[in-house]
Amino acid sequence: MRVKIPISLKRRRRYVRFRVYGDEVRGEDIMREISRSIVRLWGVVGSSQCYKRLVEFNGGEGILATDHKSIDMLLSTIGLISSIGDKNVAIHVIKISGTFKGVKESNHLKW
Amino acid sequence: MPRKYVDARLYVKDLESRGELLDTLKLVKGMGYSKVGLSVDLDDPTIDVSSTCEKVGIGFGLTCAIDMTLGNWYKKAAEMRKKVNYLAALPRNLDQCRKATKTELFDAVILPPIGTIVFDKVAAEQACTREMCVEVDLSYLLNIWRAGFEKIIGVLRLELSIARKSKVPIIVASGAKSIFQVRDPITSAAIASSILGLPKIYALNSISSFAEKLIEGG
Repeated sequence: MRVKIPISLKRRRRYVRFRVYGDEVRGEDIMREISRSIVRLWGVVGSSQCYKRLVEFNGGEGILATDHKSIDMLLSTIGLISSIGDKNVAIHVIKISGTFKGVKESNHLKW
Repeated sequence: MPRKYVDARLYVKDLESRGELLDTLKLVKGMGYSKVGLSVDLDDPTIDVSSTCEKVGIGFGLTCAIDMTLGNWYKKAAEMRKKVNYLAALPRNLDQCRKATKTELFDAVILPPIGTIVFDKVAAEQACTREMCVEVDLSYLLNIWRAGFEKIIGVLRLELSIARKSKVPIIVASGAKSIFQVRDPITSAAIASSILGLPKIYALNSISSFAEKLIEGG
């Protein structure tokens, strides 16, 4: 049977296109660091409410899926990450969109 | 009209010594910033940055952060006042902060990440009458795993609420000393609103209109 959720509680999807600046890292390492940092900053309850999934990552650029309620939490956490393991990295957000097509098609990259 | 984003503080000497100044300015420009505040060193304020900024095509204003622990901070501040667009004080305790807001030399007070209150109601009222700003450098917050990080955030949030209550403009800058410490406008606004507790529109103003006014007006 399909789960029914009231429309006001439904989460609106957001996609975040980002670029990793610095040493080369793997997608799993990025997600692990984001999860650890979210727990550190927002606690276990905050972390449980923050939906995040790595949709695509090609070594330098990637797309994260989240929702409209946890996007600020995710973006601020991403902003405070300055290293992954012993590698210096900075994660820069390129574009945010409500659709995968929108975020994929963005031609905003200037750096 | 789209917002013009401004990164109010990049430390020139540190970036120059790492050979990252040009790359950092290019990166900052590409992120969508239209202007930067370049913080020069007290001992060597004559670094020529105009040609580098022209090459990149980004506007800039010169600034300097005066450490209030220096014995001759007043003399240094008076010297630097004429050389830069805006001058910021870096106090380490309440007394130094009140002194900084009392003098007419400074345009901004940088809140230090020390976990004790330096910017209180008295300092905020003085800052308001002298039309000063409060500045938060995000580079101080980048190490979230250090001990006492919770306290630093708690104190910063309290100081910023005092500033907002006294109508002192708040500026959020990257305060980058290396290229890895630069943050894009979206992320900076998200940190300002969700970590530092500023309302969303205010957070956007703190990296655009307030910062631009400071760089232009001094």
